Amino acid sequence: MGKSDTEEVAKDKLRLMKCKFNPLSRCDGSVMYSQGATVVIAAVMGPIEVKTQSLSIECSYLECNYRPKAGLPQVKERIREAAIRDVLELALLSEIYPRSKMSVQIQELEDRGSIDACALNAACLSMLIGGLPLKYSFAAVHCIINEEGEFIVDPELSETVHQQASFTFAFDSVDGNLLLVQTKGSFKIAQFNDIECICRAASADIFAFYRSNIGKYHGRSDDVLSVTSKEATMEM
Amino acid sequence: MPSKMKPRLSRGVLDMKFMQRTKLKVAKEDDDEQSRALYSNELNTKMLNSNSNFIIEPSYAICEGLIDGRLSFRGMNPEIERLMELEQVEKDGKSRPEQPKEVTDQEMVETYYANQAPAASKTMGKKFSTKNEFHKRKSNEQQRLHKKGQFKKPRQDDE
Amino acid sequence: MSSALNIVMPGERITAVEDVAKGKRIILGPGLRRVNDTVVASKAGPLKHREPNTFWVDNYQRRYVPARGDLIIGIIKAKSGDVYRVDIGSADSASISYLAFEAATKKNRPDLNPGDLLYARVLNASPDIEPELVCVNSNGKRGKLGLLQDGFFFKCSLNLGRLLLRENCPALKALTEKLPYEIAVGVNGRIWVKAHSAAETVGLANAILSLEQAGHSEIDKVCDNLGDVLQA
Repeated sequence: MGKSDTEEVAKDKLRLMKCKFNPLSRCDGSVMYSQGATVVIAAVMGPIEVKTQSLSIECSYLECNYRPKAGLPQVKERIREAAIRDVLELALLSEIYPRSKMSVQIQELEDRGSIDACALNAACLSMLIGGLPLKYSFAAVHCIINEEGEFIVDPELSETVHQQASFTFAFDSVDGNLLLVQTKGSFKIAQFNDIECICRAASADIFAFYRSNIGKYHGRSDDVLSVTSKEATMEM
Repeated sequence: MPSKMKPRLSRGVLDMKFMQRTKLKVAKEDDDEQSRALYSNELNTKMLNSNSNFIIEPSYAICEGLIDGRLSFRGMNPEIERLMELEQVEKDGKSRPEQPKEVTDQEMVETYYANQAPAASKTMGKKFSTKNEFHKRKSNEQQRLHKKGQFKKPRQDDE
Repeated sequence: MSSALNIVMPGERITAVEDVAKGKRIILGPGLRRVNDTVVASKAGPLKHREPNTFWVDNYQRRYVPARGDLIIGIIKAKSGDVYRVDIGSADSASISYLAFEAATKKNRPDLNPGDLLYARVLNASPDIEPELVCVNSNGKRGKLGLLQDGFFFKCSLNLGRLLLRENCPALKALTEKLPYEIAVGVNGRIWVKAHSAAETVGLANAILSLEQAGHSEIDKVCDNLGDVLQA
């Protein structure tokens, strides 16, 4: 009984999150972000010059590119890219910089499960560090129902092999509204509601993580620097 | 329409040479009225009457009170250093407490009136005097002319 | 630590500022916006306050957004008609008129070529029009503005530029003790330095760039070592 309890705790907790700010030098803000073994780099540029064809006089144009670990983006990556773009568009205060472009690039480094959520969180962090004007920050959480009907938050890739259903939710930081829902597989509506609650609770951890890391970056004490550089070498 | 009720100057009158300034004024009033009419349904009373306590300042430089970024040290660019010095002097001048006076205000006033003020106040005063006063002063001056000879004596007594 | 710095996140209502605003007029700087009668952050970072009534959010943004009154370093890109096109690192390139220089007339144009560096003031900045620069003050005098000749030019983060320009910044003072030099720091994250020799100039640039990794709190410590960087 005790053993299964501890497992439960592990299953409704997010994997360890780590991030390193501005690993890239030529963009306006970048972040290397990992959840467990899933690692993503996100970079933003903006506001920058926009092509006339996509210019808007009322709001800035948002460009979002998702690159897989190897090769060119295929249909799967395009879908992911579109989903990320939709969320970013909701969060971005685009009317502040009309006639300009905001560009968000996401490079997958390692996909070991929950890549959708991980990419979204990385995109949010990069926008925070790049100083893009936002209505709110957001956090995405991935959750599955495994073959035994258990809920696993932020699963490892190995845990997802025999999943019944998978869910990705994104929440905003102000009202906790849903920004994105992605579901796959079969499930009952009660299960959906439960998982939404679990994910919402988990998103609070992510927002706390954002805040503490932004704080550390601005505080920039020596130990923070050394920790992040150590993390970077580990991630590499 | 209230605009029709208002008396208007005809074009013929406005085209006259001496009416040019009025013509501009009338044109501006017309423009204002037109633009007000154009946006009247989009502006609500709150927008017209709001006085906000917030001022938006998008510049970090102004918010943080940053100094000018063009600097020179130890004689590298004398021109810039001179400007920096002038700025420094100006800044110090604002914050420096008042210097102790060598001459008190009272002394200053006395010396001033003894030296120039009688002449200055007289010439300016003349402009504002009535005819009556003018005649009075004339007679006074004549009296003073007589006094002038006597004036030196008490002074010699003082010394 | 984060509580001491008072980190705000986008979307957060900042009631502390609203309370102050009830009593007097306040200035909202970058990163803060007004939504009806509330003040909301739009950027992440520590909330800063300067007496008497200015609030803003500090941020490690690296893209320059032009604002009226800023002093910046621009690079001339091209001549076109009556204006020069100037790259100032913002979304849109800026323009500067031929006449916006000291003693310039239609006949007597300033002699500037693509690639020249200008230390200029932003006259106009609005999201809808391209930024406009000037190299004279309101009296038509050059002052400190104008062409930057010789020297060495490099880019840095916007924060480093602002760090150097804070009043009583120890970094420039520390460098003055080592060698005579002149410098132009643009708030658009561009720095131009000039010393007596090329070696000194490059050393100076390296010393300044080494501050990039320092936060506001550590700057004193790093400044002590600047001399070593110069010699290296």
